[in-house]
Amino acid sequence: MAVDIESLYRKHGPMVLRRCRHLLREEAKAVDAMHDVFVEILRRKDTLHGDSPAGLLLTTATHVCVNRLRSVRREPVDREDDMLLRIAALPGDNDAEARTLARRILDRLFSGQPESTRLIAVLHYVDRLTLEEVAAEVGMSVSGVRKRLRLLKERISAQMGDA
Amino acid sequence: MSAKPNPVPDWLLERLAAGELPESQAKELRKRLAEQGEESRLTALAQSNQEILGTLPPEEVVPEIERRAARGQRAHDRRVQPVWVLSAAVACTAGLVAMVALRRRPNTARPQLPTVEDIVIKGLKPSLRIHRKTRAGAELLAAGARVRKGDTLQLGYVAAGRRFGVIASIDARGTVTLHLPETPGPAAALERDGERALAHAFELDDSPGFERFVFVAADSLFTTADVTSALAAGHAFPTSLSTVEITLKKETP
Repeated sequence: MAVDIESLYRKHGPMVLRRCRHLLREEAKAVDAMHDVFVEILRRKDTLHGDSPAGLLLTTATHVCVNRLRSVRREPVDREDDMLLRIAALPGDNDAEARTLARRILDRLFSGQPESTRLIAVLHYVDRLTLEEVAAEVGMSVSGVRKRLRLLKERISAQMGDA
Repeated sequence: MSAKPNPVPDWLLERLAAGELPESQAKELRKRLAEQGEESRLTALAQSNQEILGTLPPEEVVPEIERRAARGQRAHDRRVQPVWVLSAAVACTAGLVAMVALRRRPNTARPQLPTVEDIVIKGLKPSLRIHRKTRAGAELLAAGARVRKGDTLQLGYVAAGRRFGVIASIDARGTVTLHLPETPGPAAALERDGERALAHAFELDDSPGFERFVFVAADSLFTTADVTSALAAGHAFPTSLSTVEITLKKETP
């Protein structure tokens, strides 16, 4: 798919920046991440579909930001931020989410494979989408989303030592 | 007691504003917004769009996106692998123990730039690190080191507690390049402890004479323009900013 990056930025750049601000909570880091979101889009222009660029950009922004949060050492500013930092800090799944997280997840995303557990968790626990809304966003069943979240929460509990 | 309806999440609000949701879902969300008296959130998004595009206009952002993408592709093509970055990081860490004093070298090609400030925080100054890729790994370059077209350099810094920073360079042709952040705007938020290598190594071009690198840091936020405009004009940096610099000499092939 041909990508007119200027048109894409004019239409969706502010949305991407707001997403990065929301997740990273620092303006300079958010601006930097926003650029990299569009770089990822450019890198994968040959595999893009044109039906929902905003959704793709929001998803890409989430992955880029969550990956950056993996190495962040700061106190969470609220409950959602606390959950986000815990999600970001989780080691990768053996089957899907390796430590080279961003590239692998983005490769999967752009090749149309099932969405990552991290995105599902961020949508539900951080963005406060209902299970039904998350399922609609990621194209899964509600029970599938629920199962992914249950497993992820168990891992977070185990990691925090409060299982 | 009836449950209070959930506010429409920002994620869905953005998707609604973008016009990408199925009609039935869009209708339901608009109804929720109306019931909660929050239709103004859509208006606020439109206003935010204008503000952001005013602050970060496409004329500035798009070239930077393309530059990053091209640089990433070049790095890929040159097979500059993480091993090199890792080697540089290891070398940087080792080099930190025996940090050399950075001295400004006279430069006759450009107006005088400010001298390095002697800033000491807990015994450590902000520091700029430049490593060159070698067959064996990487070598730390001191001010005045000779480099040539095609050398692959890895930049890094030690923030020494400073919160914000910019790394930029200028060559003898007067071309200013931003390395950190890679886009015009606010200075980058620095990792405040230890040696930090930048995300990408890069290859020197064929500009002759010299390549001057500056690392400007401060505890309060400043902008890349504070650095690039001073560099381009040969003016002194604002005194509130801490500055270190390394000038490398370019050898003609």
